Amino acid sequence: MSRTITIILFLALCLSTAAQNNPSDVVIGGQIKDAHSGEVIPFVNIQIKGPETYNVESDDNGEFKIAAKPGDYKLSCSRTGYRKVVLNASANQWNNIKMIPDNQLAEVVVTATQSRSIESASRIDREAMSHLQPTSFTDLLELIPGNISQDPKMGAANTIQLRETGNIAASGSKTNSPNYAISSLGTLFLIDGAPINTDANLQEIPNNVSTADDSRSTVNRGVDMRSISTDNIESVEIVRGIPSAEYGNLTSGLVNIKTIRKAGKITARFKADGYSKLFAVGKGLKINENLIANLDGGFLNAKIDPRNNYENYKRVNASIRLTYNKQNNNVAFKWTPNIDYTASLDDVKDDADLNYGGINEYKSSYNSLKLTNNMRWTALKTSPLKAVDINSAITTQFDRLEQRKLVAPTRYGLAPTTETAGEHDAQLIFSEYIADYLCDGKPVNAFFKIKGHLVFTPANIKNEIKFGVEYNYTKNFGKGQVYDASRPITATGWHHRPRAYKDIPALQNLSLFAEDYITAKINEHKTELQIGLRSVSLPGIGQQYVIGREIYLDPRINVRWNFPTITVGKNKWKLALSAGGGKTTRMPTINYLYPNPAYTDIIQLGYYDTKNPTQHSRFNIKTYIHDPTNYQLQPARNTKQEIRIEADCGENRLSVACFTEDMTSGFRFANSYQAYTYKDYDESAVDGSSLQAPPNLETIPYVQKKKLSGYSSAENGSRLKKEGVEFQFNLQRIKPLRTAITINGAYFRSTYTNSRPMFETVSMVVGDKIIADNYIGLYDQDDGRVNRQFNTNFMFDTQVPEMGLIFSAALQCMWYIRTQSIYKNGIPIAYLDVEDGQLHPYTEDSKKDQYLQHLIKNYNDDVFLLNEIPVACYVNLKVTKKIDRFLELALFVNRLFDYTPDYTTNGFTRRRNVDCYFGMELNFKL
Amino acid sequence: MKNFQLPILYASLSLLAFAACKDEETTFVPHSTLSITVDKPETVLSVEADTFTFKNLSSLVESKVPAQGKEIRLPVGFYNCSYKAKIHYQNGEVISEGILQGLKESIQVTNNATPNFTLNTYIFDNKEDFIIEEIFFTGTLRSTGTQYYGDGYVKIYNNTDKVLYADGIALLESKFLSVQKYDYEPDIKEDTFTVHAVYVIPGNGTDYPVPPGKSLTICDTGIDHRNANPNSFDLSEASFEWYDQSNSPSNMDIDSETVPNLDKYYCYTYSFWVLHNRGFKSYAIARMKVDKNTYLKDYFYQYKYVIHVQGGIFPMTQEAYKIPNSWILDGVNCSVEPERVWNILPPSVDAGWTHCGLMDADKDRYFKSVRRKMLYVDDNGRRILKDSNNSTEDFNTETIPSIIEEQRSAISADGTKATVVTYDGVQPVSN
Repeated sequence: MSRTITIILFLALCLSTAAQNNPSDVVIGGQIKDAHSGEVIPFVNIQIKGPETYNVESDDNGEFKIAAKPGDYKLSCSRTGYRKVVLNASANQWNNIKMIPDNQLAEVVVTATQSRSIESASRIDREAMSHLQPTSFTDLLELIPGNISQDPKMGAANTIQLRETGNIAASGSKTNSPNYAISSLGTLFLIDGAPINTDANLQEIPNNVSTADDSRSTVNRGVDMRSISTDNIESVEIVRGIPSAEYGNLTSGLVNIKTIRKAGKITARFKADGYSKLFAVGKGLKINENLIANLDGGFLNAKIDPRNNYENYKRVNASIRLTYNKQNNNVAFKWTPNIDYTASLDDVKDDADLNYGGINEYKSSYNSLKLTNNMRWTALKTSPLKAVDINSAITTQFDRLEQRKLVAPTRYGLAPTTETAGEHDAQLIFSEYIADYLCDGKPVNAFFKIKGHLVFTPANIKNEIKFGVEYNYTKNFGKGQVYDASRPITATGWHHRPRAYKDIPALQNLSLFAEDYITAKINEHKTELQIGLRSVSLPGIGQQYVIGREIYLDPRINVRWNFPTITVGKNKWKLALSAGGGKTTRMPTINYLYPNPAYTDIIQLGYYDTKNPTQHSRFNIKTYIHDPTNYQLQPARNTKQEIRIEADCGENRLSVACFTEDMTSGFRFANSYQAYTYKDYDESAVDGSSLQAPPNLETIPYVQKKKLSGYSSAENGSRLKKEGVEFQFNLQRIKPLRTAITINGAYFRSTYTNSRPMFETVSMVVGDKIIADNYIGLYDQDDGRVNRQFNTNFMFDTQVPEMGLIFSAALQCMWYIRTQSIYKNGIPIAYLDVEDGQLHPYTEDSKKDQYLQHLIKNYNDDVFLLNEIPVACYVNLKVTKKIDRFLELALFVNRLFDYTPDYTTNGFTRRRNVDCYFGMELNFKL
Repeated sequence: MKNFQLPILYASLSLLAFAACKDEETTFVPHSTLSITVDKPETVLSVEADTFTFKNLSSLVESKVPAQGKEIRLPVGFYNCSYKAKIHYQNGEVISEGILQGLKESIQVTNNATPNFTLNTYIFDNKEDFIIEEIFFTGTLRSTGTQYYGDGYVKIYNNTDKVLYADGIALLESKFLSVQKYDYEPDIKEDTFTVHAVYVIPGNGTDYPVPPGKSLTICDTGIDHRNANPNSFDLSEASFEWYDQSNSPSNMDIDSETVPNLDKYYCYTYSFWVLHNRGFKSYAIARMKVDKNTYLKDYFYQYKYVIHVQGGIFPMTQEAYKIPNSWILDGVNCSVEPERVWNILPPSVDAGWTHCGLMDADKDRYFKSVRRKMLYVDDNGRRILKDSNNSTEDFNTETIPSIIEEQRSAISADGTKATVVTYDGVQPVSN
């Protein structure tokens, strides 16, 4: 409760200081458009000269706005590709500025740019995207330091990882451990200010029955980037440092996507490569002075392997976006509603030779309809309250996962069909059957955010304050897991029962935030301080959850010191140092908070009648039902720190960031065990020859027995530690060669381990004793690995605007990938004994025990050796060429050349074969 | 094969009457001296204590005659002649002790012709105990083509001329695969067999007598499998089954009430044990020389090795149990030609290897087993199976399993039935 009061006090403090705003400020603002096309022009440099000089940049909508001291001002607008415009500014009025395109065509930025803002982020613009020729959002990540180009992996969910190596197996290949799902779950995706909420995604097949689903399910994994088309994206900002307090429910980073909102010609794009064909079309319509409508749609048809017709992925997306601007003398109003539709379909059939009569098929579809409604009021007159934003969105999703499978019990199967606890007879499955499994999910998400901006400048210290409330609601209204329990999708070991998702309560997420961005000038030095606080809470979840009683606070701070510009010869030198730190908190998903009930089925009587098996056999089962909900579950909380240095010399620019992140409360499912009692009937007492019906349980003697069994529940048991250095160096374009060089790269050291002791079972049977039924060891050891990687990418882009030609060559070098398993001795610290169901310390005597000795896990010392994949370098070429006004041709070849030397580990030589990935596309502008 | 002749026995025909004294009368039965050529395999290095046994087919009287030395003279009549010798022979790279045996049937000894014949002989293991007759590890298919498990079996056979007791015989499956070889540390493979399944025939020593020429069928699940898979067969009359008790529905085994269970000493898994159905394991039978508790305590084996594969290097530590090779009665290495790397059992146990399937995961391997070759049917109608400690030589491969032949059950997924009954998968039973 005290925390709530703190927040209220904090907000009140912000508001009261805001009220002391200087009343004499004026607002200078406007919008810049292309004089010919009428399209808005973002990133125009605007110098506002008068009693004071201000420098601003126009935003995505071509708009700019500042609060200035009263007086007469001159606006000077410049951007490459346009003639410079100088005009007198009208204070407190909207300046509509038109810029005339330069005769010379513009050079464009085809790489990601490192932000100059206080947050450490990369920004990718439309031009860079068109040169990259992406199939889905996944491909854009190549431009972020630490990444190199990857072939499309359309047969698996594409999840994001920022500032980390990812989980790596001993061989160096990436793995997809659910224990570290927080990696991708902890990155927030925003599209036009509205989050992609995946908390109610429950589309999965339990028991690892389907390999197709194992790689595609994104339960607890966040956003599948395959489903995000890049064709209507204007710009993407990927925040990897300490994000503004405005953004929450994340641990790792933020992906902020802005869609295209401007009038323009019809654009059409056809892309074909070895894996996929893509078609996209879009148009920005100017309906009247105030209203622009953007319509677009796209279709992707991808194969996972060009030689395999049995697996494919399809994506359809369509979007209608309106941009409405209206203003009077006091207020500018901007209304930007969207309707977005995205569908995707994974279809996997087994190979004809393995698919018995075409029966086995996996289909997973996702249909999402999203309504976004954003409104912004900007005060044009001087007032402390500069703007108010209201963002809201409603998403309805229709998810359907179907698996059909021919199930052949290995001999006989048992279908424990009851949904109630207690003793009952199970059904013996005699022969093969076709099992149908349906997972029907209908997540509905609602999002509402209101945010106010205050600006005031006491004593030349400018305070820009953001404060607001964000509310997210998500609930799954689906039918859930639907199947015939007597015909489960596997005949052995099916411990699940159908579950309706609509019975699971909704999840609500409420946050308050406030942030002050303070800038001050001390002589020629400019200092910036961004200090914010965000609260995170799950109201309405119920007091039984610890997480429901708490309010978690994320304090975040970024500071930046800009040293004065020094001119040496012709060059201007600039230096800025930044540092930041803070906490980020990710709330658990519905799957973690409301896991499926756990069923433990124990066979009490297994009587198989050899003479009349179908009529007289009897299998009696005792079923225990557990609610595996962990009411103690806490959110995953990450502590982030970084320092950054940025240096500019003319147009050369270097940016280096060192970061460290540590999270010990990552989510994972961990096993809990306890002793269960059951009756062990003596089947040999049944006289099969005299039976006229299944044997009567009351006539069969039994003994009470106990066994250990377990279920998994969500825990804060994963640790994810990220450390590293990211850098980007942009060299000024070499004029005679028309070539610019960008070098970026990163060193990552990522540690993935468990953060608390874990139970592990052993499989053997010694004598007649099943060890795992009687003893289970508790091991206080790390199951994880420490991975390191270092890469640099050299990008040479040559632009000949008068020929409409952009040619880029990227030399991407992964200098090494190292992975090492953390040492473990394999000796349990304690063991569970079935006799009392209690933990006992594991002692020297235990090591000599006939049964307990088997609990020691032996590890070969070589397991803990460092594995290294040495240098691998690739050359990627990309060309875009304007054929005429209407047509642009682009093509790319990734890994056209490679340097991947053979290497030897433990006397074993590995050769690496590299295939190139290539494709081309046509872009029409009509 | 080269003809190798040891001292040849010649004798001259004698018409001298030999008087057998009886109470009432004295009869003269003419005798003949026989000329026998013993044809020995070329690998035989030395022979000792070789004897002929002549069995008169009308009186059924047997007489043993040392093969070396004196001439052999027999009363006229019809005889079966068998030969037995202790030998040393070249078994692959090693020299093994063994037994040389042979039989010639229906020799007519008359008083006016010298019976002159060649006797073919065969090398046998000298343990004089059970041998593995057949291993059916591939399993059957359902009509849709999916694999069916639970009908695998191993037959062990009394190839001797005396009653043997099966009590205490262990059925063993190797831990290692014949298609992967690593440097196991510590290395114990010279004198021990690393096993991950040890199931022992119960009994007090004389509970399970097996007459000469009879088999025991040890099966996975002793039920009529045709209920679950009409293409399978009935094992409810099998001698023993290995039953893996579990109270978890995910790995339920069925305990047949008509087939006694083996005593489970150790198994690597708490799920059920099935014979390796692609045939990469070695199998052996052994007589356990210590009791169960001593075995479990003293014969545990932990070892380390490193896997080098294309995907990377995987250092492994594993655990299993071990069986001294001296306990082993018979062992059979199995593999498939394109993948085979080594013989898990050393030459002293099995100098060769056999197979069911010509390549890994051969789709044609189902409904087939490996069956020991029959040399001949002896004069008691008993099959004498080949046992030269070399399964390459001793086994017929990809044969129709004996139980499928007997029950005339399916030999393919489409339900085609077996029609011919054979002694060893190749030689048909004539009548």
